[in-house]
Amino acid sequence: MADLTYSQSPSKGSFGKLILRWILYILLALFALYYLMPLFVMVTTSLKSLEEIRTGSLIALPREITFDAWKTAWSGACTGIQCEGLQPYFWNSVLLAVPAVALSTLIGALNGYVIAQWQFRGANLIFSLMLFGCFIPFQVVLLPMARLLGMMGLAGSIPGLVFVHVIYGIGFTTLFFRNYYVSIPAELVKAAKVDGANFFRIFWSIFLPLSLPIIVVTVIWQFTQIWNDFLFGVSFSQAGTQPITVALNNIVNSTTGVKEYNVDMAAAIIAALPTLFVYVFAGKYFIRGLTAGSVKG
Amino acid sequence: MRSLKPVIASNGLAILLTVVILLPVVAITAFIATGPLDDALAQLGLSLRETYGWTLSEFDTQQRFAKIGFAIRSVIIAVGISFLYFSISNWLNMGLARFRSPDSLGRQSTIIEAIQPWIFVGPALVLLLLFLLVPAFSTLKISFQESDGAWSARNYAFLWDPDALGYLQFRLAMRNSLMWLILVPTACISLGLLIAVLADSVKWGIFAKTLIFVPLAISFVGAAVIWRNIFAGGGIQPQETINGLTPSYQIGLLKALLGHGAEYNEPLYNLKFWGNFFLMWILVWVQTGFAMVIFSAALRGVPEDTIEAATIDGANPFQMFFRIKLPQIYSTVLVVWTTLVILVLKVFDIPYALSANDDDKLLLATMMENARNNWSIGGDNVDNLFAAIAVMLMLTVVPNMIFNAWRIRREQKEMGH
Repeated sequence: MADLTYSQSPSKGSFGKLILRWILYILLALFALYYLMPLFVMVTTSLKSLEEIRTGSLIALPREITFDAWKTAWSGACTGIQCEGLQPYFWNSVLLAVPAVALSTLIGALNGYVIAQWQFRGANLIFSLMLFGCFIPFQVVLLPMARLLGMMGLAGSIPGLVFVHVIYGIGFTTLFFRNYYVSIPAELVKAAKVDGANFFRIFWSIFLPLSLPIIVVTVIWQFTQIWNDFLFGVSFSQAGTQPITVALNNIVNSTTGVKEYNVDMAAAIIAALPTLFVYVFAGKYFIRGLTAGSVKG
Repeated sequence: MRSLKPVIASNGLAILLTVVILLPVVAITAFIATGPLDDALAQLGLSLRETYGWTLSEFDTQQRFAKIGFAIRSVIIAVGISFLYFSISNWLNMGLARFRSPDSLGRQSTIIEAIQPWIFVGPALVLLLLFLLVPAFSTLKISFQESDGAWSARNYAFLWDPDALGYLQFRLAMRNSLMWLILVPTACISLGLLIAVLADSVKWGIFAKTLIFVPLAISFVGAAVIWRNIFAGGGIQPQETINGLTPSYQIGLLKALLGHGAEYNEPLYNLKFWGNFFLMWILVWVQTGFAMVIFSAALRGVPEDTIEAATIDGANPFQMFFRIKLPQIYSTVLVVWTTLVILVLKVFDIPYALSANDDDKLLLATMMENARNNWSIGGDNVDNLFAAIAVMLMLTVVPNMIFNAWRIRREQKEMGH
């Protein structure tokens, strides 16, 4: 029996309790509707044929489950003039997200370790710069960044996008690791130093083994950010190097032919699958680490 | 004893110079040396294409495989260079310290320790300076220039002068950005708190929380696609005319619930003024899960004895929440609020994907896209105008940034760091 009223005081009648309970149920049901309905519509629509969407009810379950829309979204839907579906862009996103996540997590771990555990002059300055990197709206750097990428010969390429994501991810990853490492007692480092362990050794054999939770958080966070990013994708990519979010937008906003709602929905699901997958399998650790790390600020 | 500062500085400089000269040379050599890999992969792509009978054209296949090759070797080279950097600079640091003071172990370790943190944060520092701070300032500079580089305040006048073309749009964008900035975090935080509290008091609460968390995994573009169908008006272009009637069908769930017919094909988010709220609605849908999860954990961390004491004193659920629990998780609320504010300011995906960028729905971020795509104000200083709007966007973030810097500094002091 859950205790909504938190009180066993006899002054509360059981009638009042019942009403409160019902209000609670109705509220929760409303929330469930708000959050669940779109997901439900997304899945059912993607499994219907266009004919059925046209004739059937909106919220009805599909009469005949068909994966045609999924197939079209994966390998046949048109983004502008090309009709290859999401497939090539999906692999672009994989090529982009995996190295970017790995590099930014590595750099974040090293920086977080140094900032949290090694008091040195200038640490505050670096920390402020990192904060700036978290807060700045990325629109501010778009134009100069495009020029810099051009100068480095990385314009419109996947390595260029990886580079951009690594740089603007450093702020967040460093903050995550720094917040986590701050709570590791300084005595540990001192003791290790007395024993003659050097800088890198301390990081490698003391900090890294303790960091699994925060590594999980950072990897998931970065992966979600980079996979779902649209701004950099749309600004710094060319025809062949677009990430999946840009392709999704192009497919959905492609004006040629009939509007295929089931394909749109299937494409939206495909684009979200990797992140959903990560959340389902590592969500528990993510939530645990996120609340432990970020709540401390 | 002689001061070690000059020694540290000169050692640092020596390491820096070695690394700065050595690493680019290695990187460029590595890139040139591995160049043929792209061609090899392109060949591999061609042979795969023949074997499996791909429909993709030869040229596209080659291009795509060469691209993959380039991506792979850039990543490998980048990782290799970073390892090389750490090992070389570390080795140099040790060596130079020993070389400069061969006698005393204490002096050696002082030198080593003074330089070592910088070896680790150095690369990030350089990257952030070069690609964050410098671009930010260069945007500021461009915003005060004409396209030919002459100094001028015309870009700002374009936005602020009531007679200028951009004034109306800018004012609307400011109004909308402000609305988003206030309403979206407020809605996410209140809903998140409410759901966190309510879900803890029913059995299927965990299930409900999982569902509410799911949208967080979906990109803004994806969310926009999903909600577009729910907000959309009646059916799509009718395919054909049957007996003189054009068949139309309802696609928008919410519009159907609100009683709009299928013929009225105006999405809800295109409504004048009120359309803004439907756009915000989407962002709230995505982000509530984030607030909820963190609040849920924070509420569980509220000390048991304070709750017990309040229970004994006969506090009702509302008092319990507002007087006991909320004050104790106040700092968490602030953190979540900050995160959401940053997010809202950056958001432009949702209006962009829904092409809801008429004047009435403009945000500062979407206005920038508009500036780049559609505007010209006599001359080609579109970039400069773009920069000017970016600076305005930056200004809206500054208060938040200062507040947080202050908060973190204070917390650090409290923790004795």
